Amino acid sequence: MSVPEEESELVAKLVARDEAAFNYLVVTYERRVFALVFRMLGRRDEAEDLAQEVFVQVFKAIDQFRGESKLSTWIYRIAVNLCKNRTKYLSRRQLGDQDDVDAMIDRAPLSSAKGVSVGDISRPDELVEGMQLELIVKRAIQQIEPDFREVLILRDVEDLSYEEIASVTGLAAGTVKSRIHRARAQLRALVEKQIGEKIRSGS
Amino acid sequence: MSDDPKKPDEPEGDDEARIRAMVRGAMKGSAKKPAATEGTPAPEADEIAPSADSVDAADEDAPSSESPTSGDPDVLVDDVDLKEALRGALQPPPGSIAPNLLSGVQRRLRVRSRGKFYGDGWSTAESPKTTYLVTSIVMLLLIAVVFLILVPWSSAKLP
Repeated sequence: MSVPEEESELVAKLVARDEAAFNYLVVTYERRVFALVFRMLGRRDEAEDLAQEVFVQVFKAIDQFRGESKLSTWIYRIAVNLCKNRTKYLSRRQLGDQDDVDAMIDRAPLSSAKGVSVGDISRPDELVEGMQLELIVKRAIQQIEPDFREVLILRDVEDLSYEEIASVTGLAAGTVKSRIHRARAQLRALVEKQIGEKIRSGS
Repeated sequence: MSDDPKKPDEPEGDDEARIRAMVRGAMKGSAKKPAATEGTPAPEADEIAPSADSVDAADEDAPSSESPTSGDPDVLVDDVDLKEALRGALQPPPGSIAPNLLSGVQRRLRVRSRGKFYGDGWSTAESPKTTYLVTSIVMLLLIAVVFLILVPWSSAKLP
């Protein structure tokens, strides 16, 4: 895949350590990088710190960008690798404080689901409100194995192609597809389990 | 009591079916929420998840109508709805983009390069080039004015 001309020019400026070009790069990609990192880590403070570190690494390693993939893919690769390292570090640290997802769940507990029984719910929107489905999914995605979570987010949320995911992760395309498949199965199982438990506990 | 031996089981079966129907409804409701992420396209048919029974990765691209999870009564949440819920769940919180991300990156580079990059105040600002141009012109004008004022005095004899 050939890199677009504009991107080539930008890369050339970055290699020349053009600070204005680097400012442009950060402004252009900061939202996407932060969103990806936040999704991977589930913690805002860590995501902000790591997103900045991603760009520092991009600045340092831009010489190694050969243009074989899109610049965005290359930046994603750096972000994913840093996320992996940070995830390992955080898991080793065994922080006692809760992450943002847990904190959100605590602020908005599933209390409304407590009194909800199967017979009481006549409308799906009531169930949505009562069970706070998105919070269940948020918690479930954090429980998936990191390698699976990574490819699932890249595919289903970031909309990367299989080839791009393979390039970002360094995995074979077949492995990527297999992991996505298994990640979805894991996520579905976790979500269904939690939903079923909440409904049954309320009935 | 009924004579039908299947009767006692019916309420439990109905319960399961109702749960499944409600969860699916909930997932649909959740999926209808507009996505806040920029450039997040709608799910496409070729992105539908594969059969839960299959380990063949090629099946992942099966169309939604052929997705076993979409019509399987044993599956509470089908893949399309799960994907939408996942997208909704993983939206960064509003206003969560750090406003000082650029300045934070510049600060790190300045510190780690020991001032080689972003060492001066000008380069750390996101100022357009016109700022430099205007500043240069103003400074030149100032020098010219000072020169015009001071030069006549310099040639004059002191009293």
